[in-house]
Amino acid sequence: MKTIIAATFAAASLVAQAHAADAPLIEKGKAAFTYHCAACHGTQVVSGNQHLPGTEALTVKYEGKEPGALEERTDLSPELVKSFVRNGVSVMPFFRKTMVTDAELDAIAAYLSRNYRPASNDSK
Amino acid sequence: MLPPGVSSNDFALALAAFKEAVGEDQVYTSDEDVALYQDAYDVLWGLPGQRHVSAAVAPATVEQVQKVVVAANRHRIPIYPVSTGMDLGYGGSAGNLSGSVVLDLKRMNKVIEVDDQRHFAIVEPGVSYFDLYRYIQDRGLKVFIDCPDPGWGSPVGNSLDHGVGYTWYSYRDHFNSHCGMEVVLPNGELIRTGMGALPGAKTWAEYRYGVGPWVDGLFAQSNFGVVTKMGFHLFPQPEAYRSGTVFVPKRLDLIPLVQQVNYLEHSGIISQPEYGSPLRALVDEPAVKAMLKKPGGPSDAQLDELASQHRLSSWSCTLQFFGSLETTQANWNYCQERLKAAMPTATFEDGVTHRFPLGADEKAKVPHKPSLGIPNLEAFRGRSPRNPRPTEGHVWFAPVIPKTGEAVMEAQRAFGEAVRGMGALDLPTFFGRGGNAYSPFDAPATWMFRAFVFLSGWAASRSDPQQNKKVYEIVTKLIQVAADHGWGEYRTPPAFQDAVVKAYSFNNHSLLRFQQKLKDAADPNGIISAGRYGLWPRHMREVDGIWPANRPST
Repeated sequence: MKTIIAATFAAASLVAQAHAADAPLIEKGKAAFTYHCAACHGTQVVSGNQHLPGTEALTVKYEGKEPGALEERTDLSPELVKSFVRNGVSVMPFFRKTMVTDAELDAIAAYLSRNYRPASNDSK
Repeated sequence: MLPPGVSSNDFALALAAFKEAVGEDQVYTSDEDVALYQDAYDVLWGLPGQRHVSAAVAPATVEQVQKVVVAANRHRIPIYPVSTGMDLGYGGSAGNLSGSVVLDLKRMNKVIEVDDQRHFAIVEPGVSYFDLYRYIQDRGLKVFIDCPDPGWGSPVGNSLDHGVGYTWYSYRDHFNSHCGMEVVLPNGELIRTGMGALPGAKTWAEYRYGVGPWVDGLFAQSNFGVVTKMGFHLFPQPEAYRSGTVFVPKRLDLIPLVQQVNYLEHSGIISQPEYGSPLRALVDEPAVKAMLKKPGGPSDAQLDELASQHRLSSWSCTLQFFGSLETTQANWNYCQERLKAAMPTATFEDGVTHRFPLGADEKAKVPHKPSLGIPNLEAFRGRSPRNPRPTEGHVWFAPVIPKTGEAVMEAQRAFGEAVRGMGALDLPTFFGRGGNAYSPFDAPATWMFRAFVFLSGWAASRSDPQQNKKVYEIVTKLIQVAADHGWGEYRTPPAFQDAVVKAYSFNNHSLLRFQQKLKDAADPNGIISAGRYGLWPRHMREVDGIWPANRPST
C-alpha cells in the first residue's frame, strides 16, 4: 500500500512539474478552447436556457462517471484530445488545420490534459 | 488522388505554383491533411459518389488568391473555394467534383469595417458569425448581426449559398442583405461590384446596384469566381424585443392563422413568426405513432379529437417584435385585437421581453439566440435522454412552398405519404426518431419573407453506408414529389444538386442553358467549382449537353 501511495504521489508531483513548465501553453490552450470549443463543450455555469450540445451529450453518455464538461475531466490525454479534433466523433465533425491549427491543437490538448492522471485512470 | 483529367506532371507543376503563391505550409497534400477536407456529413460517405479532395491550398490575401487561380487555369486544375467550409448539411468543404483542389479561404479572416451609424459591415470570407459578433461586442457597436443556427459559418459563405437567419425580414435573407462584392474571376482578374466599381467609392456597402447590369447573383450557388470581400447591411440594435404567442384550437384554423400573420409580417408589424403545433409533444405516444403510420394518415377530425382529448391547441404562432418597450407592447396589443377579430377562438400568451444590450446571464437564458442575432451552436442535437443514439450528421431537404395553411397541409400529406411509402418513418432524422418526418404536426420554417420552407433533416453516417443509401433514396424521392407539386428546393447538398436543378426544367432547361453560355464565356476551362448547382464545365456535359455521365444523381 505504501508503495502505491508513494508511486501515486510521485506521479502527481511529476504532473505538477510538467504543468508548471507548460503554463504558458496551457494558458494559450484555455484561450483557444474558449474560442473554438466552448460553444459546444463549455462548462455550464449559467442557468436558464443555455444549451451546450457537447457537454450535454457527454453528461448523458457517462451517466455521472465522468463530468460532461471537458475542462473538468482528468482522463483526457493530449493524444486523445487531438484524435477527436482531427477525426470527429458522433455529430461533431473533424476540423481542418486552417480551422484549428496544429499549434492551437497542441495548446488545447495541453489545457484539457492539465489534470490528466494516467495512473488513476488505469485503475478504472 | 489526381484531379480528373490532370496528369501527375501537371498536378505537380500546379502544386509547386500554389506553394510559391501561398507558402509551402499552406498547401495540403498528405492523406491525413486532405482527409480533413471531406464533407463530414456526406450522405454518400462509404458509397460510390462520395466526394474526395486531391489537395487544398489556403491563401491569406486577395493577391494570393489571384496567383492560385491563374496557376489553376494554366494547369487546368479544378478548384473549389470555401469560406469557412462549415456548411454542413448542405455540403461542407468538399466540392461537387471529386479530385478538386479546395481553395480554403478560412485564413482570410479580416473584418474590414463595421459602421454602427450607417449600419453595415465589410468582411472577408474566413470571418465567422462568431468572429463578427465578437468584433461588434468587443467594441460596443450598436448593431445586430443576423446569423443562421450554427454560428461557425461565415456571412460570405452562408449568403453565397442563400443562407437565412432569424431577425428582421430584410436581414434574414443573407444574400439579399449583402451589398457589394470583390471577386477574383476565373482568369485571375479582380472586380468589385455595385458602387465598388467606382474608384474611391464612399457607399460600396450601402447601395448595391451601382449602374448597369447587376451581376452579384452570378456568384451565389454558382461558380463564376472567388468572392474575397462582401458588404452586408446590419440591423441597428433595437431598444427592446418582445414576443407573444397565439394559439388556435382546430387543425384547419391554420388557414386563417397564416393569412392573418402574413398580413402582420408583410406590413412590417412583426418580425419573424414561428409556427408550431403543441400536438407535436404527443408524437412518441404509441397510439399517436400508430395513427401516423396508418395509410393516408389521420384525418383532420381525428387530429381535432386528439387535440381536444389532450386539451392542447392544434397550432401556435409566436410573434416577435423589435422596437421600444412601448411600441412593441402596442404592436402586440394590436396583433391580439386583429387576430381575435378574425379568429374568435384564438387565445394568447405573453412571451418574453428584453432590453438591449443584454448582459451575459441574460444572453445565456435566451431560448433561441439567433432570433436576437447571437451566434451559437445550440441547434446541434447530440446524445440526450430523448435521443440516445445521436446521428453522425445530417442532410437537409428544403423545399419552398407557398405561404398558406393549405400548402402546409398539402405538403404534410404529400411528403408524409412518400416517407410512409418508403418505410422511412422510423429512420433517424435531425429532429428525432420515429414518425417525425412530415407528420401532421410539422410546421414550416419562416426564414423567407414571402414563402415557407418545409424542412426535413435526414441522418448522414460515417459508419453506416446502408443507412446513407436509404437516405439518398428518400431525399431523391422527396425532390421528385416536390417537383410534381410545383415546389423546388432553395438549397441542397452536392449529392442532390443535379437532381434539384433538373427539376427547374422550364422550356427544356432554358435557364440552365443560358447559365452555361455565361459560364463558358467567363470560365472556358471550367476550373471553378465544377458542377456546383448543376452547372458543369463544357467538357463534362456528356448527357443531354447538361450532365456528366456516371453521376449518382443523373
